[in-house]
Amino acid sequence: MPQVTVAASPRTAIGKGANRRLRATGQIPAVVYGGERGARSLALSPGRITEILRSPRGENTIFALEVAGEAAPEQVMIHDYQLHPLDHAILHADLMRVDPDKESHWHVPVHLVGDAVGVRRGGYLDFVTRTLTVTCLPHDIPVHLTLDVAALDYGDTVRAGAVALPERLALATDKDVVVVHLSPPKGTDDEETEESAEAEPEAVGE
Amino acid sequence: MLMPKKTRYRKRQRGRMRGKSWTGQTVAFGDFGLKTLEPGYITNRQIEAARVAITRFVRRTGRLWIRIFPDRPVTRKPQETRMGKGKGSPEGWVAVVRPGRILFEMEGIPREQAVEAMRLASHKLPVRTRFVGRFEEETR
Repeated sequence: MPQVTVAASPRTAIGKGANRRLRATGQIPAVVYGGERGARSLALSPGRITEILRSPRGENTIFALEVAGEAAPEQVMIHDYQLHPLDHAILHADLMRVDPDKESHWHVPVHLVGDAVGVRRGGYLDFVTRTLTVTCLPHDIPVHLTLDVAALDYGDTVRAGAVALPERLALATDKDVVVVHLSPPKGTDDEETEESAEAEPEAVGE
Repeated sequence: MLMPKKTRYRKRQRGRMRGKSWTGQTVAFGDFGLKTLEPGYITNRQIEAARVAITRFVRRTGRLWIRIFPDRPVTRKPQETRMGKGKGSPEGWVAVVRPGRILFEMEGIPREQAVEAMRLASHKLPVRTRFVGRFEEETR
């Protein structure tokens, strides 16, 4: 896997006004923290962060952060990010330093494969938990976990403990958490709703 | 029709609808969502009309989540009434939405069907809306 590199520059101006001016120039504020070095405020290009988030590994991508004026790049991951509620532009990114020799918790998406028997019969596959937390070294994080749902029929449930994990991974999510559940088709739906329409709710207190 | 089971007070002041939505901005349950771009009141009748429009189009396949709840009573004074003499009587229930709020979510149907279902639903609503997918694919 080729190493992704993100260039950043140190940021001294902090606060709402300064960050708005920074975004107007096409960059976004970011912060890097973790490890033995302290937290540092940075400015970087949102395009690079978007590319990483859209890549198959998404937030679990380990990349090199090159801060202007510093000799060696740091190995970091995107720990959190904020999006604008309307245009979904990235507003801020939290980067976390990664220690390649230290095991930690990571959120890995679950991918479903197969055409469930119950779905072919008209049932509905409820994908309850879309990511599982695993413990492993940073470079052992899988792109995703695969769960075969082909054999599932009405009423079947797969829990986190039943998801096959690659070697060197341990499940950190509670093993009883439901990942998928196959429900039978709904009976008569409430297309024409109960017309308790304008009944006033009971007033409590007042 | 959606409305609270119990309320502490029958009437409420109108308040303001400034700013963006601060919760419910992401598609959390399904694969697709309908996001409002404007602030506004959405009545329980409008929510129900949108729900019926979606349900009829997808013919009970897939799954639908309604992410807003009309918990605010709205009052109205009778016609041809002079001003004053107190606040009007409760006439309905509305959900207050601010820009960015996800109104509906769907899962279990192809994207093209979800787009059309949400388009039909949006015609029942008093606010401009946008179809959105799960967060990552919609990141600009």
